[in-house]
Amino acid sequence: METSRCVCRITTRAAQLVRGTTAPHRHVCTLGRRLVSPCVVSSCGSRVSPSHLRLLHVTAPTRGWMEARSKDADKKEKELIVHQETIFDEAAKKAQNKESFKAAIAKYLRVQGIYRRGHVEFIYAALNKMSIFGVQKELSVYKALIDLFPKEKMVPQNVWQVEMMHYPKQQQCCIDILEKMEFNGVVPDDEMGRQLVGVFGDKAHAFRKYRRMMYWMPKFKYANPYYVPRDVPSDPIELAIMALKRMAVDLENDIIIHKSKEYDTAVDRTFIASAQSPDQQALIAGHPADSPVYVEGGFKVWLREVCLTYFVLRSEVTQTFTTFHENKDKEEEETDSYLNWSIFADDTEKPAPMVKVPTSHEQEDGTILATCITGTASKDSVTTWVKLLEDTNPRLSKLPVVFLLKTEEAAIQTWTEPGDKNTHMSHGLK
Amino acid sequence: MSMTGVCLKQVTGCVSRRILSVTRRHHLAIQPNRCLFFESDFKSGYSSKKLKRPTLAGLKEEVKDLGPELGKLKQEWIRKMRCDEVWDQQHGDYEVVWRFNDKDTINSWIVTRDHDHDEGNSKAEFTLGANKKGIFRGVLDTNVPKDGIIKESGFCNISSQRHKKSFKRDDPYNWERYTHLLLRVRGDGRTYQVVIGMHRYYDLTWNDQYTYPLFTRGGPYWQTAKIPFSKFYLAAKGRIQDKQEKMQLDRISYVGITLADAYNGPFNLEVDYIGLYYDSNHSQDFAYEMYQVPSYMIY
Repeated sequence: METSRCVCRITTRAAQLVRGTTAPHRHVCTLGRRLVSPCVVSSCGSRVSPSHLRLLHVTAPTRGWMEARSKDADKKEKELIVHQETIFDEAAKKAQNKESFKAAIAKYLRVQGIYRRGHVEFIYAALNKMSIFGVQKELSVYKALIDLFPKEKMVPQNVWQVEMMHYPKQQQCCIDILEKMEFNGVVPDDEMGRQLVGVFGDKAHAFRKYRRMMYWMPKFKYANPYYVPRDVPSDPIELAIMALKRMAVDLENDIIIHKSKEYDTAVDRTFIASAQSPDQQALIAGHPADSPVYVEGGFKVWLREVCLTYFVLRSEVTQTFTTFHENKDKEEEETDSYLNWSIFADDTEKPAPMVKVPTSHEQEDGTILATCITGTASKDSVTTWVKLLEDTNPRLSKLPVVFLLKTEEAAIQTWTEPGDKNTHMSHGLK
Repeated sequence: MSMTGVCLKQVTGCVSRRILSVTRRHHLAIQPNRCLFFESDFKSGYSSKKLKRPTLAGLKEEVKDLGPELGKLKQEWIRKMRCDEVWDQQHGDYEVVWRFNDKDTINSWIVTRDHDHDEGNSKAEFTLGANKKGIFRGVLDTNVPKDGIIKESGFCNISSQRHKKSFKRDDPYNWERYTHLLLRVRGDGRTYQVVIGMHRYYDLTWNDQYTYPLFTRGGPYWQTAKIPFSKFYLAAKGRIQDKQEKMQLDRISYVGITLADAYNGPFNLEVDYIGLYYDSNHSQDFAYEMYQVPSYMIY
C-alpha cells in the first residue's frame, strides 16, 4: 500500500504530538495451534490494527471463551511488575549507579537464567526505574536488557507470523525499550542489531524499529550548528563558558572568569563569567556621554536540560546602524524602480555614499556591549560585574548605567524527570 | 510506559469529567486506517466543534459574510487580470510571507498546546513584543496526565491558518520558485521544529507534514535560519514515515513552529518574519536516500 501513513514510526522529535494516545486494545490471535496470550499493543510498532482484530475476533461477548487467561490476568500482571520492581528498589538502597543496576539484572538471571519467567515484566520494571539509577543514556544497559529475551525461540518462521506480530507482548516490550532509547538520544549500534536478529529475527517489527532508528538518528546527531554535547558538564563555570561561547556571534569574543575572592567589596561569594569582544570595547569607548547604558536580564538560555540565566549590557541603537539601513533601503528602492533600469550593464553602477558598516553587535533593538553569567544571578553579582567591566572599559565609569533587572533567581536550573526528588536545583559557589 | 496504568476499567472509576474525556478519546482514530476505511473526521477526533445544521442565526451570519467574501473575489480577479506574476527568478530573491510586527498577523496564527485537549499541562502564548516582534513563549510540561491513556506529553505549537481564498475555498501556497525557507528568530537555545502542512486530497494524507528542526543559538543576537526545502522530511501524526518523498512546493497549506524537546521549563522564541528565499546554487532535490528496500519494510 503506497500511500498509507503509519504511526508506528520514529517520532519526529518535535512533532511528537502525544504519542500513543490510543486506548490499549486486547486481541487474541490464534496462530497455528498456539494461542497467543492477549497483549497490550500501543500505537507504536503495531503493524496489525488492534481495533480491527478486536472487531473480527474478540467482540465483548465472545471474549469469554476465547480468553486464554483468567479474568484478573491484568491485575496479576501489574502485581508482577510491582514485584519485579522490588529487585531494583533493593539495589537502589545500596547504590544508585550503573553497577548496581546491572547487579539487579544479574540477580534476576541467577534465579531465572534458564526459563526467564516474567522477563517482560522485569524489563518494564527496569525501564521504570532507569532514571533513578541515572542509566537512561547508557547503551550497554539497554543491551543488557535486550539480552534478557530468550534467543531463537521467537524468530518467526513464515510471513504470517511476521505480519501478525509474532510474540506480540515480547516484541512490544522490545519496541518500548527502543523507544525509550530514542527519547534519550541513545543511538543503537551493530551489536544491538545482531542481538535483535538473534531474538526476533531480521524481519520482525522490533527489528524494523531498530532499522528506522539506525537510519534517522545518526542523521540528526550532529545536525545542530550550535552543538551541545549530549552529557552537559555539571560544573557551573564550565556551563557558563559553554553558554557564553554558544551565544556569541563575534568570533573574537573573549570570556573572562572572575571569582568573587578577587573582588573584596562583593557581598555574594560567587563567580562571574563575562564575555566581551574588542569590537564591543570600541563601541563603549565611542559611546556618547549623555545617553545611558542598560543592564538587562535575567534572560534564559538552555543547554539541553540545563537552563542558565544571563545578563546583557546594552545601549540604544547606534547612529551607524540607522544610517546604514536608511541608506540600504534607499538603494533598494532605487534599484527596484523601473526608471533606473538600463539595458547597458555598465550603467547600473552608481556612486553611493560611504557609509560605515555596523558591527554584528548593533541590532535594531539595541547594541549588545557585553554579556555575563553569574553563579547566583543576583542583583549584587550583576553590579559587581559592571564594576569589573570598568577595568577594561574606563569609559563605562563616566556613563550613566541603568539597571533593568527582572528577576533574581538561581543561575542554573535543572528540571529533572518527573518522579525524581530534585525537581528544582540551583548552584552557586558559596 | 505502555504497560502502566492502561486499564480502562480503572479510569472510568474516576471523576466524571475524566470519563467524558476518556470516552471521547476512545473514538480518536490515532491508529492508522489500514483497511482503507474512510476517515470521516478531518482533524482525527481533535475537532473543537461539531458541524451544526444551519439555523436562522447561522444563515444570517452567512449572509453577512457574503459582502467581504465578494470583495475578496473581486481582488482575486483584479490580481489575475493584471498578470504581474514574477517570471524571472534571480539568485538571492526573497519574499517575506509573514512579518510579525502587528497584532493582526499574530492573532491570525493559532496557538496549540497539549493542555487544549486535556493531554498535558503546557502553557503557551504568541504575543506582540515591545520591539514589534512576535514572541512565542510559555512553559513546557512533560508530566503525563494520569488518565491511563496518554503515553507522552508536552508540546506547544504556533501555526498559520490553512490558506484560503474567497468563499473559504482552499488555496494552497505555491512556493515552487523558491528553494529555502527563511526565518529570522531569536531563541533561547532550545531546538524547535518547523512544520509545513501539506494540502493533500486523500484521508490517508490529511496529516502529512514536512518537518525540520529549527536550532536556536540562544542569547541576545538575532539569527537567520535558511532551511532548504529539500531537507524537510515527511511525517504524519508525529511519526517519521518510511516512504519518503520530496515536498510538493505547490501544495503547501500552512506553516508552524513546534516545541517538544522534552525539557520541562520556560521557553521563549522571538520571531521577526518567515519568508522564502531563492538560492540558484542549491541543486539538491531531496536530502534523503531513495534507494529500494525490500517490500516488507515499506508501507
